Amino acid sequence: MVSKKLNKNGFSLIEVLVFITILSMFFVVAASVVTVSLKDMKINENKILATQYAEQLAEWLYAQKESNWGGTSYSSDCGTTCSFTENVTKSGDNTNYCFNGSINISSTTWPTSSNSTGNPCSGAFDLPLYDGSTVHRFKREVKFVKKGVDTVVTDVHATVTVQWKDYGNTYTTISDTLYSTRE
Amino acid sequence: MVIPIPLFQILYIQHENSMKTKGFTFIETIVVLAVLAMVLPALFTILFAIMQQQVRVLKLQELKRQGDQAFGFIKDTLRKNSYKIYSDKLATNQVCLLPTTSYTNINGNDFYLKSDAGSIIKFYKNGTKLELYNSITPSTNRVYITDPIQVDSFTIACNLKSAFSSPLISVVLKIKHSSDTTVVFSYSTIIHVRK
Repeated sequence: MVSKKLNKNGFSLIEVLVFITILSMFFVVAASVVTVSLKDMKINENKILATQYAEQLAEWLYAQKESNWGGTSYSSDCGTTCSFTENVTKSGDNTNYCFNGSINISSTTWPTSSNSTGNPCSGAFDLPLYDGSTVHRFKREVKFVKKGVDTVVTDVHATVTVQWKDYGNTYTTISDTLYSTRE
Repeated sequence: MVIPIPLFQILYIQHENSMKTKGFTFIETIVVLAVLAMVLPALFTILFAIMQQQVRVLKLQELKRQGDQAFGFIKDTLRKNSYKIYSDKLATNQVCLLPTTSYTNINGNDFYLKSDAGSIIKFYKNGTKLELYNSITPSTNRVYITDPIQVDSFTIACNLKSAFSSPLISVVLKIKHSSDTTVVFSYSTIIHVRK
């Protein structure tokens, strides 16, 4: 009488197991979807920031080019009065710079250059964030390739690379700009 | 002899019976409520986190969209036309005319650009908006930065280095979202005005 009543009104072990299995499968799928979408959104957010950082540097370089183009490659120590073409050839044909500092359009000070084999930022992801957050995760590098004959520079090809670290991965955005006298 | 049971009595007995076998007991209801009370907050926390992140991305997107559009237009306008720069609306007081002189205007209210065709324009900060004044249509200003994006600061300046070159115009535009003022996007450039 008791067992009959139990069978009629309750769930059997199998039924409960099946239910829990289906429910847990649903939750696992839901949790992974949530994780993936959160990660994607975070990547999107950082990508917007990275693009902004890259464009900012490209614009600063354009400003340097407009203010003081020069036209010859680096030959002697010109200090703070170096022209744009002198600065972009400071370490030879493949001059690199690490622009992890904040950019001021009225400043004409360039960071220290390094050659093509160097890693200008030395792996440091310490570009200051827009919101003043102390958690740094970006780095910004630029590589220049000049075109021209001998010491005459006619075009400068700049590749701005912004990288950031998130969830243990490193993401990269690359933008290319050509600076030339013919504009 | 069979005593007939009145109809309402049968209904009452059946109803009582079904309540006892098919309904939930108080304990069952409490357990279900307890489980729900644990699951729902967790669920809403996750939903809230997703929405918060989404709102953050949307805000940034809007900030970048408006900033890019406004800054792109300013750059294009300054690059494509040749201008003379004045500090007054009537274009009588020309600035950056002599070598090694400069002129800076915060908010852009007194930085007028006169094109060869004679029209006078200025980009200026009006409250938290960025507007373009044009002497051809002086009553209708075009608005570039508008709600929910606000102009944090707008500075436009010019300088002339030598008599043989044209003036350099430097523009610094800083914008932020009205509901998240910690993130400030800074747009800046220097442009040679065409001769």
